[in-house]
Amino acid sequence: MSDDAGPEFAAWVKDALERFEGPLTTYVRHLVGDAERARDLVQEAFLRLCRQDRAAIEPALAPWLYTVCRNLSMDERRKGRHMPRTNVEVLEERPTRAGTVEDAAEGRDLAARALVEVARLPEGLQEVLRLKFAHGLSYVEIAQVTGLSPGHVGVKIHQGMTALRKRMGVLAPVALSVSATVPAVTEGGVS
Amino acid sequence: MIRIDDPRLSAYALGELPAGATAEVERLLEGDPEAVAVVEDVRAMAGTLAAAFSTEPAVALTESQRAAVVEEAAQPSEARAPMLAIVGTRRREARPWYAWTLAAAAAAAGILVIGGPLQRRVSREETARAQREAEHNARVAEVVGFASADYDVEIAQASDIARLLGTDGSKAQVHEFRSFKLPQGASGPGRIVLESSAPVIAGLRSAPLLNPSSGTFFNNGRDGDLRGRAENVFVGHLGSLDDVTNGLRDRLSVSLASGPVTAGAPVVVRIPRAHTADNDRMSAEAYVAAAESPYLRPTDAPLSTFSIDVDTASYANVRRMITAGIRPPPDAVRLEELVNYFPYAYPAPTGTDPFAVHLETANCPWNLEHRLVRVALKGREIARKERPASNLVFLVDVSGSMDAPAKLPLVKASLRMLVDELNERDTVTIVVYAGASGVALQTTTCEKKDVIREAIDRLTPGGSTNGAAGIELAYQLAAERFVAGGVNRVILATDGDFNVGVTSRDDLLKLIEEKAKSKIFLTTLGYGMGNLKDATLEMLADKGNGTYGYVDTTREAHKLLVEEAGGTLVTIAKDVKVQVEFNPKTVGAYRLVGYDNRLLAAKDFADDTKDAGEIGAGHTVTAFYEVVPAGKPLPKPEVDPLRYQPVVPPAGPAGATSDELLTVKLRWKAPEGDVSTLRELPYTDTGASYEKASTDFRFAASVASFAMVLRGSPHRGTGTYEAVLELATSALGDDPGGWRKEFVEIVGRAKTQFGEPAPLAAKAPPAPPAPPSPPASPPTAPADGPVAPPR
Repeated sequence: MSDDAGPEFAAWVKDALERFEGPLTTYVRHLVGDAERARDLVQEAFLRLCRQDRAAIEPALAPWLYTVCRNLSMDERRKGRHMPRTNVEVLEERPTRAGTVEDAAEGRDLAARALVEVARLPEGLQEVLRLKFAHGLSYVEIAQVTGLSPGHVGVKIHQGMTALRKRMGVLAPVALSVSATVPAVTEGGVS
Repeated sequence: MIRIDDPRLSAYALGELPAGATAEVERLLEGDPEAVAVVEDVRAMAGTLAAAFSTEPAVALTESQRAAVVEEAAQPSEARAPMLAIVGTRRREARPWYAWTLAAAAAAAGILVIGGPLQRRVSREETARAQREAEHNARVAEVVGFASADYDVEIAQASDIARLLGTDGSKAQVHEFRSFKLPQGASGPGRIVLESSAPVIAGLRSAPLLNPSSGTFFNNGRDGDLRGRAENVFVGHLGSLDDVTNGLRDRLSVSLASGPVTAGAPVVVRIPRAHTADNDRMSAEAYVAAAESPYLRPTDAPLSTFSIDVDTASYANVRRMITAGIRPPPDAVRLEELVNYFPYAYPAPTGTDPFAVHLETANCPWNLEHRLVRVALKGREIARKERPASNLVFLVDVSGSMDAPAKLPLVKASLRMLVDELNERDTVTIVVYAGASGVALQTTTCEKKDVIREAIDRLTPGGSTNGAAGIELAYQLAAERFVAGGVNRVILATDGDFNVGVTSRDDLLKLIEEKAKSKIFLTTLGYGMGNLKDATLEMLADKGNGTYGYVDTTREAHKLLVEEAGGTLVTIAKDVKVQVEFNPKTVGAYRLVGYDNRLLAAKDFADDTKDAGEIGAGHTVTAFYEVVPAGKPLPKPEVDPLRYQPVVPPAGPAGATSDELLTVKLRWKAPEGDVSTLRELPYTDTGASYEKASTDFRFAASVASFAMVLRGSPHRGTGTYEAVLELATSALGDDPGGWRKEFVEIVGRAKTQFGEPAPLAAKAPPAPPAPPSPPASPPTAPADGPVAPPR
């Protein structure tokens, strides 16, 4: 039986809090639409973490936490108690990772634009894109959290990226008309 | 060659492919510049997204929440409540991947897992304890508190768990749980739920239980209604914490009498989390989403049909939120209810029809190329003396959640005001619902207003909410006292939180639909924040042939129940529908402004079985259409242009020579009638400018504009809070009651608190408006195609 008592465990939980509190609450907030509810659910997830066997969870702590949060959020939503997603109140802010944001106005505009376009995507795509790019989970981890197969995750991410590229015009205007790009005879075959 | 829609491209770009697949893709990318470009774009986009997401403000836990977690972590392991698996067995989705890992780990560490075989800790003390328990309590149910967000739940303390061993399968057995210690300060109307994989009869007890031989089960008088469920889990509602804590302070005792139960089958009790004393939590409010009507072309859709609506709750609700500094969710802003809140001086009907129709047009102030058409109805006034005899049943929610100053006390004040307005021929009955429902006042005529007032004063909050039983009883009593040709009405006062009994919204609506056939009308009055179930209350009034008002102050109560008593009480026409036919010769496109959740299919107009809204004595109804005159450029299409049909309407169908703008048709039924009457009114645009429009027109337009700005509607045109202020202040008119002046204040507050929304123009999106709302809300960016980012 692993040692799940005492100050080491508490330190481990505290560390997990530090690292994941912000991202998890952001993630849950996008699922349930309400910052206050999101905090409650994330706190619940951490309370459950306290009752886990550390050795079992530690190797895959992030997916575990995200999965618990997701399940709690889905329960919440199924009861119809979540607020419409448009009414998200940000009541407490933490400093963002400013270093990764370009300071140029151009960078800011692009970022804002990207968020707007992401918000227009279907919810399932949004969630997967966020888990990948906001929370840094791998395809396999995302599959674990959402219950999809990793292949399906890949399809969704590609769909999302395709839609975003089209809408944001990032794609260089390569003509997509079939006649121009596909050779009349396909020697290698199209995979 | 590789197809550009092949998901491996993204996976490769993001380094997610295993080695073998990576090599394969690289091979396919050779000589395929298009695909290579895609890969590069995906990488660039990945960077953009990562950067973009990092600009979103993070939300953190509160200090006390963090502290609670750290404290729990610091507990010695035995003292921590045992962990139970996440809701895995009831879930319809795939089990979380780790569940099996967890079960395996649990087997090692001895943590309890629901759905899997029960494990016990293998420590020596535990073994000894288990043996003692087993000896001591041969058959006791295993109760595990179950943390689930379904019902704000507290986990029962480890020390209070006991275990049920199997029975012999034939006789009902009686078992008593050891009682749980309740979480500190636990109370509230939320129900306690019991789940079991076998049929059980259960109840909450504050004392040891019952008589096994008689088979009866005493459960402190509250409902224990059990229903089977598809997955063979039985669910029972055991009343509320309020019910329990009335008797016992801090212990919850659950008694079970069960039929055959398999060994180890878990029985789960879910206890609602303690409600804080301040029940006003925004998170419990619920609004229904409605998409706004798009522009339609008369050649595609010449008919616009909708049900009238005289509800005013949305304005009162929005006003309350803005005053409290809260930004109303878009779906709480029902444009027609804001416009209809205000009294307008439309001329009363002169003939036998119950209402008069008035049409007016002018330039659209938020889109000067467009015309604004206003359809107005004015219902016949009824002087108090002439009001027919009223048979009123007050149905009052006195559950625990109503115990707040803005709720039950305000209800009582409202009802007293209404009673003052009644005549001697009127009768009042008072029904309450909470836990049990009952008659608080037998039908009493208004010759004895003192008796009525006293009964109102005696209403006290407590218990959980059993809306359905209350509704049944109220309608039954109203039917018993039905006054032919008079006013027969149930007035429901609640915060909308129907907790126990028929709780699903659909069941509740079916119930009320049935009741509506009885020719008894319904007024729903919503009180309080937090638990206000706006959607439910509106639907109830809708389905129940009635109106919905929101009461947040005595002033509002006075408006609804005194100033507009005639309208609130006396219905002069029901199932009132409007259908407008637009002339394609003069109208390029039109849009119904508001009434989003009141739309009807064109064929429903003449279908008398289809329900619609009521109009009360003296009520006014105002509806706007924004019209693009023929020949003007059509608004940007919301949908991609059709490929096979022309976008631009033809010059005009042969035969349409009229210069009329539209024809308005109305249908209504008498309050006790079943067959509708039809009126038609063709109308030609006068071409009047906005300045020449009547004061009422201009004020109503300003309110409509405000609603669109507040919702962030993409149809708001050049509307801003500032523009609304200008329009409204120049159209105050007489302003009886001072409501318009109050509106101007509210707009001012909205402007200061929320800031102007981003302008709707085809440029790169602006920075998000202050206060910070995450840019991931429905965009106000134009619906046209993507704008190339600045390079």
